[in-house]
Amino acid sequence: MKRLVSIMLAVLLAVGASAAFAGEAPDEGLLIGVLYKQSGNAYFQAAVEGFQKAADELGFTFIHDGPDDGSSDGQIRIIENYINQGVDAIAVSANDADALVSALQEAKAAGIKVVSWDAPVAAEGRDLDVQPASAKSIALTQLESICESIGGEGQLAIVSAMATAPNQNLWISFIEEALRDDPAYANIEYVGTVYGDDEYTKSYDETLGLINLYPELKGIITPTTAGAPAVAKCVMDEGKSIKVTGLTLASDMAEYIKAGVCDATFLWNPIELGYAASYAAVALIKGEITGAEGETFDVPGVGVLTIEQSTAVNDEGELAPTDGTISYLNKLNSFTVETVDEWVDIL
Amino acid sequence: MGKQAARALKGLFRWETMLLAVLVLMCAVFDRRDAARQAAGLSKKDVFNLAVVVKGLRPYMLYGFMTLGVMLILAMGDIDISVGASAALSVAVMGVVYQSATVSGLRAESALALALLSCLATGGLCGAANGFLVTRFKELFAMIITLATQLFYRGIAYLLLGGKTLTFKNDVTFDSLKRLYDTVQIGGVSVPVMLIALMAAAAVYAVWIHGTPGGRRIFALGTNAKATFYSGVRTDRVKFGLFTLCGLTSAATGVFFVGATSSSIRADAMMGYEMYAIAAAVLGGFSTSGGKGSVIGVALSLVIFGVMKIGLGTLYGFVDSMVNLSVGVILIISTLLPNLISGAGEAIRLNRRRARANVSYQA
Repeated sequence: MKRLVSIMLAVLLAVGASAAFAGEAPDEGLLIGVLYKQSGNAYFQAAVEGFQKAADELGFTFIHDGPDDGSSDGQIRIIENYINQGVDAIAVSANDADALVSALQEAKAAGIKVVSWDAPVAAEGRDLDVQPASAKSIALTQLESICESIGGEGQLAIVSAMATAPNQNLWISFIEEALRDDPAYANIEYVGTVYGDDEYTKSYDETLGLINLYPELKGIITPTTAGAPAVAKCVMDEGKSIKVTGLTLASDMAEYIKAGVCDATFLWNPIELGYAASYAAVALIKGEITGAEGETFDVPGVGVLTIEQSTAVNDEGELAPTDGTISYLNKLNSFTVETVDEWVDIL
Repeated sequence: MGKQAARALKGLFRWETMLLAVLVLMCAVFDRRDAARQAAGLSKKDVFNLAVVVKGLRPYMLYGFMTLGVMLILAMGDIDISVGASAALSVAVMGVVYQSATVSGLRAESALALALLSCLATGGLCGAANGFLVTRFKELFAMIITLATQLFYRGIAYLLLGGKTLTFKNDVTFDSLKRLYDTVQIGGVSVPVMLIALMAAAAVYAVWIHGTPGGRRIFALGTNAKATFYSGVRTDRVKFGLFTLCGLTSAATGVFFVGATSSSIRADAMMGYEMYAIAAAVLGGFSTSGGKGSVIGVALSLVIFGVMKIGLGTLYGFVDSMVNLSVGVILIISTLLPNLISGAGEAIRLNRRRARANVSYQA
């Protein structure tokens, strides 16, 4: 009886297997294995669009996958699969910077180039990291935007995440520096930063406090996706003509962008990120770059990207060089009344 | 006696033979597909051969030790779904112990030994706690108890590590754990250390549970707990012991997992591994109602899952979620079909008997 079961199992397997769909790879040309954090995530599907666009232009083939549980060991399984298939490069958004190092070192030993994008892997495990924007450009993009929204003068405040959040603190320090030194912002009065701890109610209350304390407040920058909706909601509830900008998800902010609370908010563009990562991977495979500091590669429509030394925020809250190299697109995607609807399903 | 032994042997090997047949057939299908793809120029290289498969089995052996523990729990007719969390907590303790031991000036080797011991001790303790609760509160299902401890253990792991990754990839001594994830060359094939260790452990388990009276008590307990109790077996003690052992095997899985993930430790490690382990045990012939199953079947099903995932992933371009879906389908079929068929057989026999009864009545 169980014999019958087994035979049926085998037949089913064979039938299912031969009928299966396949991501076919030609033996000529380059094969790139794209690995993201988790399957079924709209953000990464958008990134895959970028890889597809580059594949069409550069004539490589790519396969893409992510573990359905978003785990590091799931990513390791896929990396080992890619090595077996003989990919020329792996482009990875890592669930854990450290956990993938051994697996990726094994890939590198097999002659495979490794580019990390979106979420980096540790320097030992990669040839190059491709990121959307440097801290400085993230900071200045928001400042320029709010300055334009409020007509270049008036009081400005920042609603940040945790007081200890290293990224936010770094961005704020760049914003403060520009406000202090750049004559373009001479008429803006910076009243200070409050911390919403990335909690909705705390962010809302802190914003309310700001509005009450500074009745003349003109603009708020909120460089945290978690806090931004609360800030915009508070401004809208109070009926003030305060403008808000920040790093936000399109889906969170569509309502406030359409209501005019925000003229524009920002986040990086996953399509462009995947696109640039492809160009980096192909340049590495072809030996046009090695991932060393000072090299450049061209990404059509984005620009010539320079490879720089990686940096990280140290304990003093300053940028310090770390191991590995990185390239920035330095181009943020803006969500405005015209564009926000295209993005609500993705970001 | 000879006949009895022969029958026992036959009974032991039947499902296993079928699993072996499935494995062979699967390999044949995959191999043909590989050849076809190569002939059509679709593959860059030979992606399915013995060397690739044996080496490729590595990540799928990670939950193997856990499976050895879980299958015994299933054999008793219980279940333990806390094993993934026990393993995560064990390695969290291992990381924290190692860190504080090295900070306090202990030599790295001693610190690592201490950390490994505390890892196993934690696993054992987690299992013992499950065993205690299951034997003490019999009105509660093991499923519910281990669901609760699963959340509890995982929670402590988060308390210990926060949301951060504890990494020792630059610590030469600790990073030697990655050798557990290495391969050794045997006849030109890179054989994973883990596969060897696992098969050795499985052999020990096989001798123990199929070959010794103590081991066979486990199956007796799963078939009829009351009868086993009245025949003089201290059933609670056996249960407690097996749950503890299950915790230990989880901790062992944890150590290999740390080796596989570049000596990094996270509180969310091995999420869902209990399900992989239960799946492998069930395909191997263990049933949640207890009393049956064999180690060879489990070893085979671990390999089958591995080969299947490798083949579907590399030869058919299945993405991870599709591979898991396929595994789910196979699992459902393999567990349901025997029941359906025996049900159908029963119905046919009943019909025949009725028909015969009718005939005799008419006569």
